[in-house]
Amino acid sequence: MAEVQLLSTWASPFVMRAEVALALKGVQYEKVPQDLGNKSELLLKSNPVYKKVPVLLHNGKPVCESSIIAQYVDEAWPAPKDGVDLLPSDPYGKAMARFWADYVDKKVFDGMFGLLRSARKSEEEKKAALENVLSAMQTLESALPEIGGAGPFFGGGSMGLVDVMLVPLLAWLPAIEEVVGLQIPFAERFPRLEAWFAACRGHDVASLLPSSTKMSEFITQFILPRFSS
Amino acid sequence: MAACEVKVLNTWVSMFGLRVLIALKHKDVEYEYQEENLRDKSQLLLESNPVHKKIPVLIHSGKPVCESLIIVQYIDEAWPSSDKPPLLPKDPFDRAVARFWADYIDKKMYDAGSRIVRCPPGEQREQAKKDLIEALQTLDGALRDMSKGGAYFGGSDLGYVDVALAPFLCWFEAYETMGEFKIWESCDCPHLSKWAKDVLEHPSVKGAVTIAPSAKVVDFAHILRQRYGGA
Repeated sequence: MAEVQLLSTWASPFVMRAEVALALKGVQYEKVPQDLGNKSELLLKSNPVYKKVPVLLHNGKPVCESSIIAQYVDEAWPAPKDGVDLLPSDPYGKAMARFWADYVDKKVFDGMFGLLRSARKSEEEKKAALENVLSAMQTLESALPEIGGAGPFFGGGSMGLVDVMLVPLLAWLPAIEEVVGLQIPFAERFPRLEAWFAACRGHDVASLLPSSTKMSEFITQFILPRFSS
Repeated sequence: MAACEVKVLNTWVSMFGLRVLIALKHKDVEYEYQEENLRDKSQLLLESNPVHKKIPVLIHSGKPVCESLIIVQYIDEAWPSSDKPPLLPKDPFDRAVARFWADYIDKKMYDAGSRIVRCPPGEQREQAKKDLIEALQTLDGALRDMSKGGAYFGGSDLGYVDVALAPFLCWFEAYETMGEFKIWESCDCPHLSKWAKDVLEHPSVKGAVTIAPSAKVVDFAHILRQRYGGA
């Protein structure tokens, strides 16, 4: 058994966070793909409370919930030779990073899934869902210079916890925009976020994420049918 | 350290605010307390938490920290104790376990409790009661695993999960009154029911919870039911 295993599915944005965190820390791991329609004994035993992916197994001990996994990976492999630290060292800097990581997890992701759910709804409901996302993006746009300084990342010159939480948008957001038929005007309204996306696309971790074409197909085939109006 | 260096914006009835007060007491940090009227939020609150406009907020030397569990971690890190263990353990795996259960409490307890208080008698309220009991049963198992023979989730002394959960005890009488049931009789939680007695006697908790006496919380819950519950 590899020292580090990740119970995963290729499409889950939460799994993507764990994979990016591990890559940023230079941690070698074994991916163990899961069939969520027929959950394995290992998954049910490792995450009995939620029965979800991702689950990180470190020497057999399970860590669940993507944000908790990211923080665990940061703390279990401190100051790595082949990687970065995901949080600043001072308590206030940590608190700020955790606050924005939580904001991304709740408001941004809720907004994103809300937009997706509106795909099969009225134009009015789509517009309302878009407004929600625009509002969250505006808030993030202001936060970037506050905690990331010159950036391009929320972590500054290198990716940090907030970037880890947000980066699955690289794969999911263009796919959602395509499926819903709406576009978020990043270049015009959110230039720092536009630069953030460009920096993520140019980063090594981008190769870990599925293409948005593959995401669009997945969303159309498997997710949308659940939201029949 | 001067009390004005640390300020807390809160409302007396909030279990999230109580987490902050317990953590500050545990670390012997003096602070200035500001009671907020959430229907008429102060300028300081709106400036300190522009994103969520919610309490609690901790302001340390003018710098605000928001979200109760983030504040508790901040308190733990900004004021390390030499004479007692930290609220979050040192070991990364133990920290992950503590964060997992604090997050579980956040996801399950407040929502179920709110529904018990706000819903009139009926299916929704019965489901809310079931959800609360199920959460407590799960937490009973977690306590058994985490306490390592001690009285608390943190082991021999108060820990992160104790701070996250203890404030909800102030609301138990309100849940029982509004839900018309008895919590400890409805669930098989031998460890948690003992913990509930022990933790309220802990010096860091005992003083802090006096701002939210059970009877006062029950009255508040009645107002919430009227305001949001319809019939």
